[in-house]
Amino acid sequence: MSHPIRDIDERLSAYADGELSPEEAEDLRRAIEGDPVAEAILRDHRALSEALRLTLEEVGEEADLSGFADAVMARIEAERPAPAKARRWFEWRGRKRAPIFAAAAAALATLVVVAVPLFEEESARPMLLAGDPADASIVSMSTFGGHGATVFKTSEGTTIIYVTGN
Amino acid sequence: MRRTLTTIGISLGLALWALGLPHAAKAAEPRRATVAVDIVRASKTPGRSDPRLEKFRMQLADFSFKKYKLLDSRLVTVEEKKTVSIPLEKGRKLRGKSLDVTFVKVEKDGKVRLRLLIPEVLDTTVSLSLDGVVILGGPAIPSGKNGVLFLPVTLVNVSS
Repeated sequence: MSHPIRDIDERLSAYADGELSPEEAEDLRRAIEGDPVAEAILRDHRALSEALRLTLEEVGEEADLSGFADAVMARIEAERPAPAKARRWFEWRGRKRAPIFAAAAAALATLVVVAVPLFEEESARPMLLAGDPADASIVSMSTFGGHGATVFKTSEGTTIIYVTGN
Repeated sequence: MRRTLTTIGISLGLALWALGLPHAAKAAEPRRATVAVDIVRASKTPGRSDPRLEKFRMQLADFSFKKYKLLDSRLVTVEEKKTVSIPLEKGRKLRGKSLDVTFVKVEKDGKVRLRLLIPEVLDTTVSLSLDGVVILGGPAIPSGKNGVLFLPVTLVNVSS
């Protein structure tokens, strides 16, 4: 079932993007002539189309991935934990302290089994680079009244919620 | 044998007690998120952009606007499950409106979930990592002739 407001909005969007045939475009132009609401929506679509066009043009021109892999590897190396020294520690103590070792091992095992799940939520930090598109995501979105919204990412990966309508 | 069992028991007790400490402390003190909200007016009138907008220069450079002006800059701290309202008085046509920021929760991957509400315009929930930015903007939140408001929202800090 068609929705008249959605239909006109989609046609205006197509008109702004030059996707209508000359006849359809002329019909639409006549239909919205003198209608301030439709003209405002059309202006919004044109502004968005222009922003998106520039975005796409500049992605190719400005993308500079030289050193990207090195930067990622540097971050991985920096955040890699130091090797464990548990083996040497046990060797140093020797067999005479076996009961204490048994107790310490039991406590340590308890700590690992119980603590790891508890602290997992806090300690898990995503490894992100500046401008990484993954540093922001939209969980939900709704608009009110005659407003609409489009989500897109700039060439720098920044998330933009572009709200249209009056 | 008895001595060994006693030692094991004490060790386990201490380990469990130590595990409880951070949770007790966390229960007493709620998490807080520090969020920066800038109010930027973009216009197609040629001119110099505000030097304070350098951090957003790259993000906003994709748009065809000629000039950007920083109208206001707010740094707010919001507790988990609480809302802070930021008046958008500087954006003329938005006078009386606000951006309501709610700290929903910290997700498993460490990102922070924020609900951003401009009453009667937009209601969105976003997930941001530290220093992550989401920019709200567009013709629906205009500011003066030939101008559009952009509201970059940046997650600055999260206290655990």
